[in-house]
Amino acid sequence: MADGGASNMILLITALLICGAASAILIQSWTDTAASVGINQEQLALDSKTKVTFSGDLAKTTCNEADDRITIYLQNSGSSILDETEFGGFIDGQSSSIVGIPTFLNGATEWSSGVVVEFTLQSSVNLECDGTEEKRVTAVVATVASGGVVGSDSVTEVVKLG
Amino acid sequence: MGSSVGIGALIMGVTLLSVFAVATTVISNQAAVALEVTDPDVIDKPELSLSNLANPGTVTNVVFTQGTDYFPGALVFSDVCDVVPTGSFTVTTEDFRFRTFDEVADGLDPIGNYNDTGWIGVHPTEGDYFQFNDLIAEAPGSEERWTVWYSVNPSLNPDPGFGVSTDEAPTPAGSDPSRMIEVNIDEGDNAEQVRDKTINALQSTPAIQITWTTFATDQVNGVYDNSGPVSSWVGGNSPLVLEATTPGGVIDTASLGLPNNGGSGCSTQPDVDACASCGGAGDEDFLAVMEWDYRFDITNDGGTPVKLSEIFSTINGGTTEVLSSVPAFTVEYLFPGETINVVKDENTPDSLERVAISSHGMNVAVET
Repeated sequence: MADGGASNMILLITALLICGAASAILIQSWTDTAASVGINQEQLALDSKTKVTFSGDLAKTTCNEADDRITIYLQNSGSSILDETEFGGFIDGQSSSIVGIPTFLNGATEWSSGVVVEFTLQSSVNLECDGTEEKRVTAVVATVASGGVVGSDSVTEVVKLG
Repeated sequence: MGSSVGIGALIMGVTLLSVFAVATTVISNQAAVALEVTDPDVIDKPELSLSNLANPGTVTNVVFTQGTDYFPGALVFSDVCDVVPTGSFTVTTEDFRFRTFDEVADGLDPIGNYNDTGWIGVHPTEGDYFQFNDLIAEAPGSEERWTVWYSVNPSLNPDPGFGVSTDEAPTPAGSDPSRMIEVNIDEGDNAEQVRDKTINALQSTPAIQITWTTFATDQVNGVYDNSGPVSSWVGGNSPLVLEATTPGGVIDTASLGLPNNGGSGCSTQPDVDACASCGGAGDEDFLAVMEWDYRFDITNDGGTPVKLSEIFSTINGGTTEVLSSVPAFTVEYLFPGETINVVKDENTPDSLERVAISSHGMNVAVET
């Protein structure tokens, strides 16, 4: 009886330890999973608030033939704040650098909803600014960081130079 | 043992509740995100339309490059404006200068080079003369021809002796007895004396619209009081010589003026001509300098209000800028079905060719 009591006690204590360990692992695992899912959810949520659109006259895009540069205008059509320094531009799929500092229109100081920013892109190929050449311009934008995540969006339009 | 079983069950129960709580939170968040992704918090593309592009212009200045033989007068603008511009132009004032010479006795009777040099064996009876045109008004047909003639030693007349004048007023073509000026000179007068006697006679004739002055010792300068082309000098049979002429009638200023000045509502750049009664060589070349304002209407054809400050306009493919109007908008939004008139008081030299507006991915352009 005494031997049976002791062994039962050992089994119970062992079960308690295993049970406690399993609980700790289970809670930790679910906590990590929840955190990971949470980050993804914030990312998805921020992406859903991020939208950029082309502004200006697409059929008469300002073009500098001497320097092979074009000027585009992008409007923040989302509800998040965009980071004008986190910008990628592509002309016909070729990455193009930004010339100068992006300019906010209408006196804005940050790229909030509705604000238009002027970017000048440097083309890697010669441009004909006579109103006949059409280029596919892609802009990629990112939001300012919020809660450790950054939203992004891109837009592509065909524009006519000249 | 019973208590141990209880503790174990408690642990498992709390664990399951915790996991359930975490799972519930995750599922709740996922549901919320799913809703946001399904209905993203972004601004939908509005539906706007452009119409009624207008390009009223105003003349700000009139420039010219040439124009001769004109009398000053009104500028005539072609009728392309709601209020036709009005203005005028001026022309240069002519002046001329002639040289006198000594009265030199030639030993013949009558003497001197201020008598008829055409005398050949016949006793001359007239003095030498020259002519000029006066300009009594700044208009065609206002020229009057004057004849100036020299009488030598008239105080001795009719003494038939040497050096005696037998001069009579000549009657050259175009002479008018009421516009004859006699200049009395004496035998042996030098050029300066002849000049002074000539200018005295001219200045004593107040009907003439010319200001006479001396120049050097032997020249007379005449500046017309009225501007316009005159082409005045006729040397006649006198020894006088025309030294210099600054032509009149050359267009030298053009300006807008009352009552309409630069006018308004010009649909195109008006042609500018000199008035029909201004004469001229037909070589005038006026150009109206324009400034243009831009007008167009924007209609919200969609179902949601559009913030005006989020509409951007591009004129003639130029710089894109936020929509504005003169006077400034008094409303903030353009509601569905509403039309707003935009007046871009640009005052630019460029006429309106193309207007583009854009807002949140909506791009529309209209050309004139």
